[in-house]
Amino acid sequence: MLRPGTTLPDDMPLDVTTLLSLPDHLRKSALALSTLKEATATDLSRETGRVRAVESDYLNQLVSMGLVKKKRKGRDVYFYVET
Amino acid sequence: MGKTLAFHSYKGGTGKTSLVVNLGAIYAKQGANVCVLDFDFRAPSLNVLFKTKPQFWINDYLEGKCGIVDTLVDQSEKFKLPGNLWVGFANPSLEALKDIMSKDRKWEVKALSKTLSGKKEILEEKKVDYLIYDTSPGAQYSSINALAGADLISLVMKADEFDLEGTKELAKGVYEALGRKSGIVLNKIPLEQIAAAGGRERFGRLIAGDIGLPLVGMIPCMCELMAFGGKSIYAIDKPDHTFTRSVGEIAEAIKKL
Repeated sequence: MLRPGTTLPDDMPLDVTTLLSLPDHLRKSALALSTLKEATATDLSRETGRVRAVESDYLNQLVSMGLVKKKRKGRDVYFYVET
Repeated sequence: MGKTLAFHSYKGGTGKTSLVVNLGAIYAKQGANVCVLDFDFRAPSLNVLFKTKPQFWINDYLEGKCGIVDTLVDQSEKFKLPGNLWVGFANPSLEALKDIMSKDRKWEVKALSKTLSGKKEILEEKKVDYLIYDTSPGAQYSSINALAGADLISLVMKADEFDLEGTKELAKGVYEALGRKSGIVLNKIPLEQIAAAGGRERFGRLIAGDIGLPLVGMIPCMCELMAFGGKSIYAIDKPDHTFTRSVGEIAEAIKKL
């Protein structure tokens, strides 16, 4: 099981085998982001039904692990899975 | 929002495709809007049963050559069904089979994303009540991608030791990890074992005890099905057949899950 805080190799893709190794709370965010392709924490919170602050924290954990990227567009921060 | 069902198995030949097609036909006969997707890219077979050559295969969608809705062909008029029966086909050509086997993990990331967003698009655009995936057996990428997007995963298995042991592994390593609602369909069970007093309960206890999942339904073993496999959709051609009735019971059980 991959733990939050684990830094993965740069070329580790977010495919299903990686998804299956994630803890439940991060897998839910990663699956929702794979569906939306690119989203803010607010967009993701609508998809997962969790509050925005929690979703933002989980997304940033995925960013720290190297599985998700983020970029700024104006005032908004967008998260995405590199494909 | 419609229900997404994925039918999977540890080994091949458990009867997933027959079950998926007949289940889809039963729901469409009841007036529901149904979509069946062939995600068995290693051994596509829905094109044989529906005798259809679509303009686009699901493979084309995964390659970004078309939208997911462009791959769907409505079969309701052909079979005079009150509800829609949309079917998306996997490409059965040798070239496509070789191509799918050569994909790397980067491509699978894109395929996962396209599988999940395609599901959302079908449910929203076609107002589908039941989206049903037929998948390849075992831990294939395309199958797990489909399972990841499903509300309910149904494992189709025979009651032999090979299936039992492998299914236990899948239940623990994949279904439980994905956190999806899962259940077991037992297929090819000797009729006398189902009909015996307490037969159904005995199988239910066996499955719950050994695999830890509920039993969704049972289908008796019928040699006739092997002879007519791929030629006939029993739910349409033989509505009173034992096989159709068994699938009908599974259809009702799924509604309650």
